[in-house]
Amino acid sequence: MAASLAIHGMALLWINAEQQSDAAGHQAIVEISLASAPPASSSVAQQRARASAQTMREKPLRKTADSRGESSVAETAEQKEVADSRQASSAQADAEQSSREARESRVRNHLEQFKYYPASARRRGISGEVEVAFELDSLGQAKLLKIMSGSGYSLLDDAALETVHRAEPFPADGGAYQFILRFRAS
Amino acid sequence: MKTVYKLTIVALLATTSMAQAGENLGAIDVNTSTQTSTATSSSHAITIIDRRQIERSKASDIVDILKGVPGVVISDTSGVGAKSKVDLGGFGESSSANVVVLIDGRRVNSPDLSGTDWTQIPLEQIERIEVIHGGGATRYGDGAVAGAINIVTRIPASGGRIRVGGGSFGSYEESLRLGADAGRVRVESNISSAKSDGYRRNSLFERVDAGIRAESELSDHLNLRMSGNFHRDRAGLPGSLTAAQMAADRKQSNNPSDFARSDDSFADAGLNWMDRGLELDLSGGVRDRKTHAEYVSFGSISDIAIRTFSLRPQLAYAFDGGLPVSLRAGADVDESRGTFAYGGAFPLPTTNVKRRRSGYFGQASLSGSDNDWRVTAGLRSEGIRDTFSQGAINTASERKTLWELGGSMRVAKALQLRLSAGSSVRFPLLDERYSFFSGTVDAALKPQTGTQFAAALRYEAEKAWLELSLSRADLTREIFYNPIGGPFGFGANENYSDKTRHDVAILSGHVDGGELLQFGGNITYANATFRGGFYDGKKIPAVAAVRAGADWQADWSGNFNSLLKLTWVGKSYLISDQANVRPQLPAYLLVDVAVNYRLGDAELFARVDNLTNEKYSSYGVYSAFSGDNFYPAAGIGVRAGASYRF
Repeated sequence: MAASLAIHGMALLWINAEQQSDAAGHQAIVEISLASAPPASSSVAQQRARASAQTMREKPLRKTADSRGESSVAETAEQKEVADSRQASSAQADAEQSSREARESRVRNHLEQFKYYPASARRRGISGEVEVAFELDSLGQAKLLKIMSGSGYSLLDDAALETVHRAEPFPADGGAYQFILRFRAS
Repeated sequence: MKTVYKLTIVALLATTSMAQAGENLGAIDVNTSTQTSTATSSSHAITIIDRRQIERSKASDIVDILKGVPGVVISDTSGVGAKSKVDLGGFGESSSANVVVLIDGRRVNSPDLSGTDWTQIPLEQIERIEVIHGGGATRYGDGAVAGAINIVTRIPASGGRIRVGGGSFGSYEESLRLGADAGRVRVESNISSAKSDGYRRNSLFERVDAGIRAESELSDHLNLRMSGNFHRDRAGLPGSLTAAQMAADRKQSNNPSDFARSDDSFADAGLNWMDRGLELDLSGGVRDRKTHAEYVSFGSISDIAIRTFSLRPQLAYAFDGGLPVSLRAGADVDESRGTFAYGGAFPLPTTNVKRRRSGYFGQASLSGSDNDWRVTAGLRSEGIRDTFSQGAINTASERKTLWELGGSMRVAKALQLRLSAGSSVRFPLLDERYSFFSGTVDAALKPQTGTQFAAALRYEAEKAWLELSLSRADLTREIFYNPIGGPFGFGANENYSDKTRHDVAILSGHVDGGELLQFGGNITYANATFRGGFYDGKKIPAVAAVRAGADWQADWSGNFNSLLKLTWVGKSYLISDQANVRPQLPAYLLVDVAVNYRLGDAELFARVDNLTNEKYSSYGVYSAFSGDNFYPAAGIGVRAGASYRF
């Protein structure tokens, strides 16, 4: 899960670099090379990411400074090679993002069909928000289902977990997800 | 250049964070309209006291909590809160008959002058209290003149809690909650008792409660519920003191042997079915209340027994007719049967009484598609039929049609406007209408009717809110106790001959300035006047023109929190001083402090009431025979205790 998401994260990073490169072309080169940061899956990984980001902050500055003295021919060749690579990666990233968005949409829409308001809470006008995280296995079954942030009412928390269970099997295989179920009485 | 790198870094960190938590699907809303709660969509200003506030206050009963609520003034004759009146909207002596009190939709107002017994509602069962200001008669019926107090009980939960405490005036309390949650079935039982010798002589109060609540969700669409409670209390009735007696010894009692005891039990059940916007809620129950009072000082004994059956079906349908539409219709019927027996030195024949109250209502709401406005219209037909039998049979029957128009609108991003206009009715209570001495119905006593207007503007920011609420009730034939009324001038319940007006303005707010700086404050201005007639221009007695409240809550650590509460009530004319000629009941300021320390599943608490030992009376009566009379309230009192959750 973490690796997958790290890749997705890198795709976003790359896209970010792509967008910026339109305005400041040469910087994109360095950013792409640094996008292969170690996968993040924990707070340790987050620290690593910060360290990588710090490294990245330094590297492009050096690269930019170095590149000022290079011949324009060598620079152009190098840039072309990287640009081709970037285009390929861009297409791949676009595809991955599109695929991810489609999967998220499927999972979300599927959950929408199974949500419910427990009658005991509804009658009392009890509202609350429950943040839930879960992973899907290859059969679309939820595992590692947990409440990230509870509502203060066990009934609503249980309803959020039950919503996920009722939605099994999901029309997606694999991946880790989180969502907030907002119970609103009016 | 730097900007580019910074953005890139942010992107990396953001995506790294996402990698930790999974693909974020965002928020999924589960919306519903509710049967019992009116908080969000109401056309009226509503003050909500939630479970957190209740638990933090370490109050001993509901009255303690309502004491600081905007627009509310508490008066008490027992000195220990056992015989409290809750005045909402400036109604003074007749306040109990001008506000409807509900527990989970079950009406708990007594059909006689005994009002609402606030001690029969143990705090540990309460999830939330909603104080609805300024009317609402089409929803709540007879007596919803000043508004309604809607008490919502907690969802039965597994586990339990035991709590013990004690303190000044020989007081102690203990409670036990036990619950089980088997998924679709939840059960919870509560047992509690409390005792206090009281501040004054002969102000002993003791109570015991045992209750059970159960709910079952047979399916996603069908919910069954039941609840029941047995309550028994005994309260000394120390009576009043003159100003001179208070100055000599405010703890003394002229009536050292007077007391009242009551048994009050109920069983209620209901089902709720909801599917595709159609909702059926069917509730009903029975309540049995027996009160025995001995006024030894007057040589009088009374025994009043009333059993009330109620049925409350409601049908609601919500659909999208271009805009969200909600329709609701229902009935609210109860029948009380009982006996009034007066013995002692001057025994009277026992009177059998029966009151059937029936209300039938319909309500339609139209909302904006983004729910930022809602308009509501309602109609209700409310009637009573009373039968009194003391040898001869006397009956009285009345019916009134009530209406209400209201709206709630978000006028700016953080501004909510609520407007309402409607009518109200208050039928005479059983013992206001019937003379047990002569065995006759007072045919001259008519229902009190009124027209209400209310507006509220609420500003709500992330860490603060401020609300201005205005209401006006113009009443016709307001029912009041005329101390010089009746055929012999000894006093009688009468309709006031002309109009009366009750204006209330409330400014309240709250600021969350961090864990240590959570402040709340409110100030209420009430102007209740006779308009025309014998007392034209005079103030209605027992209505304080100004009251104010403030509180400071602080979370000193994850385990330790505190509450400081100030309640100031301005001066008011003594009850029965319609002529406004007697010195007023003095203003008073109360300072209450509560601290809680949590250690795992255990909690220690302490509370100091009336920290400054203010010597005050919240209840004063003028009598042509005995002059000015006061009911001294308790001085400083300390309570402490511990609870454990398991």
